[in-house]
Amino acid sequence: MKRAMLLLRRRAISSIPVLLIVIVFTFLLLESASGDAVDAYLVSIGGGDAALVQSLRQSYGLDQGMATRLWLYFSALLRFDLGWSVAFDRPVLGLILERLPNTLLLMGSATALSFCLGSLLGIVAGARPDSFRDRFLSIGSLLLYAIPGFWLGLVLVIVFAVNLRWLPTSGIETIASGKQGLARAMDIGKHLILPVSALGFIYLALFLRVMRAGMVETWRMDFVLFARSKGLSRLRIVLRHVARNALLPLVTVLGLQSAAMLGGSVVIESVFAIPGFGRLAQEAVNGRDAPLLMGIIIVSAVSVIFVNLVVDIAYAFLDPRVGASEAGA
Amino acid sequence: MDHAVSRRFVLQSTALLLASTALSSKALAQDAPAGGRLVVAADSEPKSLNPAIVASNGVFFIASKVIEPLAEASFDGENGLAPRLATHWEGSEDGLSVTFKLREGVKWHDGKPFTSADVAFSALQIWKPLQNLGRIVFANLETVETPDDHTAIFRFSKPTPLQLVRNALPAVTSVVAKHIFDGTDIAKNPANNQLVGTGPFKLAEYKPGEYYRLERNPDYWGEGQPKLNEVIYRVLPDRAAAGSALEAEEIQLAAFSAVPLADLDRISKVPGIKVVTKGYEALTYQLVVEINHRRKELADLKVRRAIAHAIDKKFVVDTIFLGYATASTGPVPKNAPEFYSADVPAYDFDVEKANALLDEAGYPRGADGTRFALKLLPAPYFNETRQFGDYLRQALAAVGIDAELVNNDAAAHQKAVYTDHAFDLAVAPPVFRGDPAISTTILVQSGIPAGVGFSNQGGYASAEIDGVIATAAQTIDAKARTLLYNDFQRLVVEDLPLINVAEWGFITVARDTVLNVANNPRWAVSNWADTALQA
Amino acid sequence: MSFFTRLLRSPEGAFGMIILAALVLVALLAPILFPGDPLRIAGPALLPPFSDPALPLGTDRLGRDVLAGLMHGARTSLTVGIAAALMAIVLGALVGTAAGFAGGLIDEALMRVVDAFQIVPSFLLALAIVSVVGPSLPVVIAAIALGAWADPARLTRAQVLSIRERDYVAAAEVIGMHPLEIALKQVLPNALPPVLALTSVIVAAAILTEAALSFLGLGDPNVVTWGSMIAEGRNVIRSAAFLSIAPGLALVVTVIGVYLFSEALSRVIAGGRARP
Repeated sequence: MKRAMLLLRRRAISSIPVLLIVIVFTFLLLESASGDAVDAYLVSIGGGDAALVQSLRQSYGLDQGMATRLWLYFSALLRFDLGWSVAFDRPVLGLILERLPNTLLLMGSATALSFCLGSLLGIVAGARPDSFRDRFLSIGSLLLYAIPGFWLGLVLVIVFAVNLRWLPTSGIETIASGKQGLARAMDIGKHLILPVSALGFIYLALFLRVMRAGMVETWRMDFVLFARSKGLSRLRIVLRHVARNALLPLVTVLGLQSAAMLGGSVVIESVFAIPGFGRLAQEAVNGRDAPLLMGIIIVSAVSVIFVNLVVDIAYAFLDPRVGASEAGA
Repeated sequence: MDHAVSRRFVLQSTALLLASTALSSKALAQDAPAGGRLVVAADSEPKSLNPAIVASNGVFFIASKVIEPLAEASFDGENGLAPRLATHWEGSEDGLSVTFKLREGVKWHDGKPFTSADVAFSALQIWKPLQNLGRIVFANLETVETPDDHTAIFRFSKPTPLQLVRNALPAVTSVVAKHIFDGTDIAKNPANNQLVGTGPFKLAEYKPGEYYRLERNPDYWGEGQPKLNEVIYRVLPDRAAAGSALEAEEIQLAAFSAVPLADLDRISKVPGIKVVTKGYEALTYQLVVEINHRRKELADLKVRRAIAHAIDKKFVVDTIFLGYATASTGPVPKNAPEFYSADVPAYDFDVEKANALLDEAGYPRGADGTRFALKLLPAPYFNETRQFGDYLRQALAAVGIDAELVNNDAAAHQKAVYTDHAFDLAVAPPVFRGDPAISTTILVQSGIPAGVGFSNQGGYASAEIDGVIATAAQTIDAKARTLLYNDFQRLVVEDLPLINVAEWGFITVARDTVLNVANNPRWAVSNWADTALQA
Repeated sequence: MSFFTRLLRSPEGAFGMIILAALVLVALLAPILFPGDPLRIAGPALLPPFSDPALPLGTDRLGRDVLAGLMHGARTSLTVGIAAALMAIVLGALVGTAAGFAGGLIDEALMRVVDAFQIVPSFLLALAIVSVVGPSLPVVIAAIALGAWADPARLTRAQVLSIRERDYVAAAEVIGMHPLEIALKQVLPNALPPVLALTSVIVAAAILTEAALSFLGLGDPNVVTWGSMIAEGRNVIRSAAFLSIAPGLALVVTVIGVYLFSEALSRVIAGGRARP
């Protein structure tokens, strides 16, 4: 426990400069953008005259210098104030917190799906390396990995929502249904099946391959050879020794994948009209909403740091050989 | 209405017209069943929902059911108008005043009575100083007199044609409540999103990213209206989503071509779904090639005419718009018969002539077959503007002009074209809003400061055209004014400050159960008081 | 045994090599078989495949030749993939070597920058960069590379750290070689092979990222890519599914080819290193 706390503190401290770099880089990137929030707004209202443009820029604070604005941003950040979204005319933090649960639900389910199914299939594939089954699963998962997520999503909608009508086409829940409690949870679950599949299947390949590779490696290890020589059944060896040992690298991949999945959710949320974090990012980009995009990038960076921290701690508990000092950045 | 449209368009719409005229007959409108929830696709969530400040179709689509204008466009009303909050309007001989008689017994959604003070307040405090279009139409509005609760007299400092005011009524005159906005910072008032209006529906709920829910207003002034209990706008940002949701019966209506044109042919054959091409006659979008006259080559009229000859309008209409559009002849669309003039030069599709003109202008083909290179910026707002950009690049290549496409998102496009002038050619979709003076003359008029969107930012200046625009702006007599705009069209097409390629209205796709669809020329952005659902 | 024969001996390697060779061939032949702009309007719109010998795979929404698009698309998609991967590897290798070799504060600072790029979701980064700078092929490539260089940097650094302890590096130090020379001549060449194995993964990811950016309307409109073909085809996915399936298949085959190749490559490298 003490070791975990130590790790936690070390990580938290080393994360601060990383976050600073992220913030400054994003700020400079958005600063170099052509067209600002006022331009985006003018498009949406179909044009306006020069005086309107001037007064809008003033009210958004876009007429001040760059250094001033960066300084103001940092000082606000210290008070956990992520600023004011110009496209939505609301506080950024509120917007993000409102959308984050949907994305966490989507990502959590998709991760669970790809982790469980991926490692299970990885065990099946790795149990007999280079068998037909192994080849079939490896290639099959690659196929899923190679399909663009948005395309898979569109096809799933057409087959399961439009043609078969088993599932809803889009959204996170039935609109204005007034459902409560369990009925609502069921409703949300039904809406999540397609997007979670589209997102989860893509990353399934990764877990499958890592699990398989880990298994193939452990097969050759001494303790497995020993177990085999003792005449233990193959299934038992696979489950008790090989798979368990191969689980460790899988946990690491889990942490690394969280960033990729957050990126993947942008497209999936757009296809399935899920009001989540990823779609918010796209809306922020389209609306040239610099404060919102900054907030999104900062929050996603913090989330990724957090997930990796959890993974590290889990790792430390799972594998006593790894000391906290070794689990560097 | 005069519909000079392609054959395919006519064929496709005849059957629908028959169906929809039958549905929109008065008898049926009154017998239409009451109740029900209509779920509609919405592709965007406007930042401000106040139609008095932001006069745009994206806002109207939702807000027009809650906040009403003085008058709405109509297929059969006098001067193409049907009364809403005003029942009668009359201009003075000198063009210096317009008198509105207002509807009696109208209540705001919060129960307070609607009076002429609300109209005066909206006009002077919002339409004139704050609204994107009202700034132009009401530029010379001085005062609004309110002799009694139901009369408002607009007084202008310079003659303002009644014709212009009339044509502007549907889009520009959304009335908001004085008691809610007076004495506050209007731009920041929360009522810009929590709308309070006089319309048939109240805004009940908004879940960002998911839906808007409108609820029936039981105290609406229209007898027996509205028919529907609820209207729900479901936010569906992806273009494929609306079609799928319609087929899965999750939504009942998708307006503004939310179902891609390429999918219409197929979806029209799905039982229970109808494709409606009517209902956008007063919301004509124009496909325009904007030209930067600062480029030496493009300042040459011969080059501009060559470009006009290089564009195959038939291809644009048939292939890009799949027949759901009309080829343009000039800056005023054909379905604005009040102003449209066919008496303009025509530029037929003729590659040889285009090549000859370019040779004549002194830009021979180089060794690689190109004469000169330029930057082409298609506006990103519609699938069709981007596709036309793709096509135009090929059409220009055929006459030896190498066009490099620059695809920007909305904000960057706005800045590149209308502020920085960093373009040679651009593709724009301006809207014709019932009168050339509202949003059309600004496309060619000189002296507009940089930064104003959908305006002449190509550096074009013609004293003659500016003169016609200025005279027409203060010509009271409707006939004389119309003649001036006929001149305007001829001059623009002769000199080509920009090239009008095609004009289009949008398409509505709905379940058969939705009744009274498209029964006025601004239907998608009108109040839907008589729209009903078959049980 | 040569590197290539070892690579070809495994079924994965052989299969991957065949796919990649075919792709490269297609990419090289595209301008010869289909000269001129593949975005040119070649016939009537939405011509179904296998109905006109002159346009064997039919045409798209605007009447552009699908086969020409696919072949030229191979060029751009491979260019995007390879260029992005190269940029990422070079940048990563340079930063990783510098960090590993310099150590101390420089190492610490460089690795924090690497961290920063690793924790920001790379697609989000690419989305922001492309939309801000404007969608053109070089920008798309750079944006993808910026999201992908952190892994190679980290791996290079780890390699450098282990190699610099080895005898031949110590020997080079003893004979008085310049540190920069040691870094470039002794350490980097030995640190690189495992990093290079990452290349193919990045190539595949880059091709997919380009497709997703095109889907969101952030592709370069002047060139044809498989991603832009899928993105355009999906508007008619119900009536002309072929238009998005054909480039989709091309994408899938390429990504599989790249993966199989990388699999075999990393095996050969691992085997090669294990040899005494």
